[in-house]
Order: sequence, then structure tokens, then C-alpha cells
Amino acid sequence: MSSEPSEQNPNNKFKDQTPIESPVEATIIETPDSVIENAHTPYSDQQFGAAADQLSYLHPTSLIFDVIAHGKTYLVPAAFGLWGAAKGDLTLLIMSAIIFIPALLTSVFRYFTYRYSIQGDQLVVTQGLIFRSTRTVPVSRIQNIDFVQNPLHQILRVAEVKVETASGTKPEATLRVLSMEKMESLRAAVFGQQANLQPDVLQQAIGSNIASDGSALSPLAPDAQIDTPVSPYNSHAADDTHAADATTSLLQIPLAWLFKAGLASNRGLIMVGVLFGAYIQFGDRDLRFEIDWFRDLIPEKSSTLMIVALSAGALIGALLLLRLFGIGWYILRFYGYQLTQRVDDLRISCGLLTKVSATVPRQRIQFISIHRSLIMRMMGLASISIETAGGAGQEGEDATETVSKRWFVPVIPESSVPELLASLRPGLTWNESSLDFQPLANRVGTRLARKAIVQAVLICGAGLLITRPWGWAIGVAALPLLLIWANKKSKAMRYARTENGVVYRSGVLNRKTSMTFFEKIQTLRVDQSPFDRRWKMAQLCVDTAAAGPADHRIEIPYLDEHFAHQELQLLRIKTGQEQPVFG
Amino acid sequence: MESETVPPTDDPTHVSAATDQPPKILPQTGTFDVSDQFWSLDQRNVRIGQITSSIFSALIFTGLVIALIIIWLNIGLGTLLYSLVAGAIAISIFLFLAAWLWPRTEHRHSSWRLDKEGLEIRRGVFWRHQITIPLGRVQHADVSQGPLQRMFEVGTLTINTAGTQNASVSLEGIAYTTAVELRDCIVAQRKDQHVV
Repeated sequence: MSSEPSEQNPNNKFKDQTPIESPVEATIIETPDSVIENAHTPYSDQQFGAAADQLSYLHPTSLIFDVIAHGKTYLVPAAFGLWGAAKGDLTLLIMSAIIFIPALLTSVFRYFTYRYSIQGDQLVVTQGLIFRSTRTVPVSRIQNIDFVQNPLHQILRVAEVKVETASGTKPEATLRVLSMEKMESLRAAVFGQQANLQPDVLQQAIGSNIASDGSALSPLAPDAQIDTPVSPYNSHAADDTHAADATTSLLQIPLAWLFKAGLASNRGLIMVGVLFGAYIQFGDRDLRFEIDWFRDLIPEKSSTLMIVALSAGALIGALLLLRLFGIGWYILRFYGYQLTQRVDDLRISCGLLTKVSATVPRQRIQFISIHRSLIMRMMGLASISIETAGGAGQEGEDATETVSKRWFVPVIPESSVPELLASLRPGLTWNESSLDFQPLANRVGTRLARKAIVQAVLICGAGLLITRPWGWAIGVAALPLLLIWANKKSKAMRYARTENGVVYRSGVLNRKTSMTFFEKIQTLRVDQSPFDRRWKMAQLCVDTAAAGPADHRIEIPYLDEHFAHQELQLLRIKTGQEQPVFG
Repeated sequence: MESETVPPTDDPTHVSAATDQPPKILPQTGTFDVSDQFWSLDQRNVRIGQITSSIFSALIFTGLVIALIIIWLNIGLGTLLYSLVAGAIAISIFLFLAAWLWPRTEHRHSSWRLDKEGLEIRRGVFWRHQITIPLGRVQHADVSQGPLQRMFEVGTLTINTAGTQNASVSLEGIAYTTAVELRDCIVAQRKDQHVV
């Protein structure tokens, strides 16, 4: 490597930390499978000289954030104890102290025993005193160092840092919290080293990246591969040889788009729901009281027309407010959205108050889904979500994951979608109108119409149960709507096979177009219910490693029986030819 | 369904004798459908199904008898009790018939094949499923045996993929030796393909 070692050497960045005696001897090594191989013992590698052996503590404010993160553990006993104390009952206070104090001590303990360091080409994270665990992550395997900053973080100039490798769903290590300087020096140390590593080590680490491109297996020049993970913090790395690998900006979302997206979204409704729930919970009021309050707003002796006008006005106002909430949510979350690409990594950074910087390695994308709600389609917008291997589900999802997995691109003009998709996956030419969409089974219209009629009859029955003489009218009124809906549904639902994957489109109002690729397909399935068999139809399901936050599965119903089986065999062969890649 | 027996070892009692022959072709038991190249499950699996569902039916039968006795003690003899007894007898007959026939029906609708692309499994009587697992997608494969399966030398092959809905697919009721061979075969193939 031609780059100057003095720049890559992270030594000087660690000056402020006191060296501490090595804690690594006789430790429990708790390492994920992917990391165990080619993990050498720390210290054996003198390549990076004095950079080794430097241990760093977390930032002192970590204590605060640890307490906040484990807030629930503290809040309940604390509240309980205070409540007891207020009532003059000291036993409750003592009892809560018994829970509270050890919990607090755990936080303190956690802070004082948590250390990380770069030792040779390993990132070592040590934790615990009695049961000490040491996690060793080869620097070459580190895909990214992400961070989240909420306003409190920003005031204190710290960030929650996540070190991610390609393995598994969770970050390899979460450093809560580091000062921005330390975060940057860690980034510089890691990415600086990566650029400095011998070709073969890195080649091994990046091997999967090359294979990931699937069809395009053309091996790049080794140099191009090695130089890739140069961090932007490394000023010297940006000389002419590295210029080609520098970060390129793929997308910036202006405020106007966010505004439109907020208008189109139903986010506001969710926020109102949350606020309403909170109000009911903590407001400590009777709902009837609110109704009375609203009633008082209406002037006495107002005419019916007046009341109607007022209600209409209130309704419009409420709708506007909802939309405003939606806009607010979008701006809060995605303000200053930037999508950049550095070789095979896509990086997102956004957020008004809580700033998020997240990275998605391109080869980890299992599934791409384009969502367009009715209003978005009218405005010519779309949103793109992606799914990664084993990606986290809804639970325990934090801001980084929400942005990178669920809202990969919150809003983008439809015209720019093909361009963006091409950079998400090299060689992907996206032109939805030219896709060879296969028709559903011939009799799907009849089947769905019959289903609609059955539904209408059921509604009639339900209506009759409620109001006797005229209840059936609702069902009759609903019938044309149901029929139209069925027709639209069957028209929207389409399946296509492209040269590198499958595409499935569905949804009447909120149209979702999802695609996955042959090397990402895990299993294939054809299902037939008794009804399907009567109509000679079948459902084709394509299973991938994607966890499903995009909320759209490739499960195509109402396909012709023969076609589905034929397609299963075809996809099976196609899938078998490709190497699986999780990234 | 026209099917041809290869080798003719349908009778469960003769299987142990049949395994004396060198097992060259997978599998040694079950029937092979020439038209679509699918193998049926092991015949002995039907017996297992019949035994388990018979046990289940017997449990329900006991429950019904106990319930009837309690009712008898409470209300005494009468038309209500007689009709209840008649109902219970009908249910029991249905259950035992189903216990006898259903495993056969299931057997007819379950089959599998292994070719160079991967394993393909068909199952389901009313709701039918056809699942295919490309060899390169197999993460790991296990063979397991329950107590009854051990008695009948039958096993379950479970294949795990990185997928979400079909993360693990099991093929229940093939001869144990076949299951082991299949597993070895699949794992060996997998090794060739460098699964990440």
C-alpha cells in the first residue's frame, strides 16, 4: 500500500487515554462464529506498533445514558418508593431502595468495567469484572460504525456508537456512549487500518462482496478492492489513486419532498393515537368531561346549519392537523437526509433532533420494496424500503434500524427510482412498465367477484342482526364497492420474472412492488387450498432471509395451477445456479 | 396414481431383511412414481400414524366414557343419556376409522425427491404444499427419531435454511437410513457450494 502509515496509524488519536494493564489473559471469549476464524491473539501483531494495548473507557456521561436506557428498571421502584415516602410509609421506601440501589450500582459497575481498544487488527471489547467477557472483532470484518445522537447526546457532544459486522442481526458491539472525538478516532483507527491491511486478509473479508454481485462476477482489480474502506476522516487517503473510491452522493432529500411525503402519509394518525393514549393514561380525566367541553364551544341557540358548518369546520381542521403532524414527523426524522455510497456501502444520515447515521452494505440487501400510496402516486412520489438478512423485526427496533430497514428512502420522485435502484444493485435496470408481468389465472375475476358477493351477503346478514327491517341495505350498497375493489385488486396484482429475480406487485390504494433476486431466494413453495383447487389456482411463495419490515411478502395468490408449478420448477433451477449471499 | 415398487419391500416386516442388500440407490424403502420422479414416504410411517392417532382416539374415547358415566350418575337413565351414548359411539367410530384411514390418505399425498437442484417435498391432503429447497441454501440438516419412529426404524429429516417462513422444513416419515443418507448427501453437496 502506498498510503503513509503515519496517517493510518491511530496512535496519536489515543493519546488522551491512560494505558491500562491488559485484562485479556484468562478471559471468556464470547465471539460470534463469523469472527472466530482468523482471530489471532491480541498483541501478537506488532504491525501497528504502539496503537495496540490502548484501552478506552466510555465517555463519563455514559452513566446517564445507561440509566436512561434501563429507565424502566428504575422508574417503577423509584416511583413506588417515593409514593410510599409521601404517604409516610418507610418500608416501601426501603423496599424500593433494595431494588433501586443494586440496579444503580449495576450501571456504575457496567460503566467502569466496559472498555474497548484496538489491538493490532482487532477491536477488543471487554465487559464485566467477575464474569468477564471479551469480544474480539477483526477490524477487517467491521462493516460499519454507525451512530445515533439524540438532542441530549448532541448537547453533551457524545453519540451512541454501533460497531457492525456482516454477521447476524445485532451490532457486534454497542458503545453507549462515546464522545464525538473518540468516535471519530475509532472510525479513523478502524477504517485507516482497513486501508493498511495486507491484500489477502482484506480480500478474504471482501470476498463475499465480490460474489454478492451475483451475475456480475467479474473480479475487480485487487487494488480497487483493498483501497475501498478508506474513511472520509483520512485526509491523505483522498489523493488521486483513491479518488475513484471516494464517497458519492446518491440522493439528498430537500425539505419540499419531505413536506409532500408528510402530506401523503398517515403518520399523523398514529401520532394522534399516541397522544390520545397518553392523554387518557395520564390526563386522569373523564372522557365525558371532554365531550361537555366540546359542547360548550357550540354557541347557544345556534341553528342546525350552524352546527353542521361547525362540525365540518372542525373535521377539516382535524384533518389538516393530522397532515401537519405527518409533515412534522417526516421532517423530524428525515431532515437533511443524505444517501451516499462508498464502494459497496450505502450510508444514510438524517434527523432533525435525533441524528442517525446508518450504513447498509449493498450485498446485504435481500429484498427491495417500492411503496406508493394513492396520494403519493398522484404527486408522483414513491418510497423505497429494503430488507437485509435476518434483519430485526419490529421489537427492539431503534432509530438506526427504523431508518435503514424500514424507511430506506422515505420519499423519492418516481422518475428517480430506476436510477437509485441501479445503484442499490449494480446491473439492475428497472423499468416497471416494460416488465413482463404475467397474468393471474383466467377465472380470477369470477372468483373474486363471487367472493365479493359472499361478503356482501354476510354484511347483509350482519346488518339485519343490528337493525331489523332495513339492515340488509348496507350489504346491497356495499356490493358495487366490493365488486369494484375486487376488480382493482386483481388488476393490481401481478407477478414477473426478470433475468435476475422475481417481482411482485400488489395493492389497490397502497401499491407495493417488491423484488428479490435469485441468489437471495431461500425456499420456494406452491400452496393450494381446497378453494384454490376448485378454481385450478395456486399460490406461489418465495421465501428469502428478509425479516419482513417492508410489510410485503412475495406470495402471489390466484396464479394458474399449471403456471405456478411450472414457475416453481423454473425458479428452482435458477435459484440453484446462484450462490447464496447474505453479505 | 400409477406407481411402481422399487424394490418390492412394501411389507414392513421384511424390511430388515431387505436392508441386507447393499443400499446403492436412495431410498431403499417407499415407492417411486415414475411419472414425476417423486418418492413416497416409508410405508412403516403409515403404521406410526395409525398408532399415534389411535392413541389420540383412545384418549378421547376414555374422556367420552368418563363424561357419560358422570352424566349417568347425575341424571340417571333416560332418553337424553341414550342419545348422548349414541352420539359418543358415533364420534368414537368416526375417530377410530379416521385414525385408521387418515394416515393412509396422508401417505398418498406426501412425497419427496432429491435431484441436483435440491430437495422437493409435497404434502397436505386438503391444503396442499409443495416446498423446494435448493441445495445451496441448506444451512444445516438434522435427523431425529421419536420413540415410535425408533421402533419402526423411521426418522425425520429437518432442513434449516436462512429463510423466514420456511426457515426449517422437515421431512417426516422416511426410513431412518434414508434420512441419514439424505442428510449426508445434502451436507456434502452444500460443502461443494460454499455456503456463506
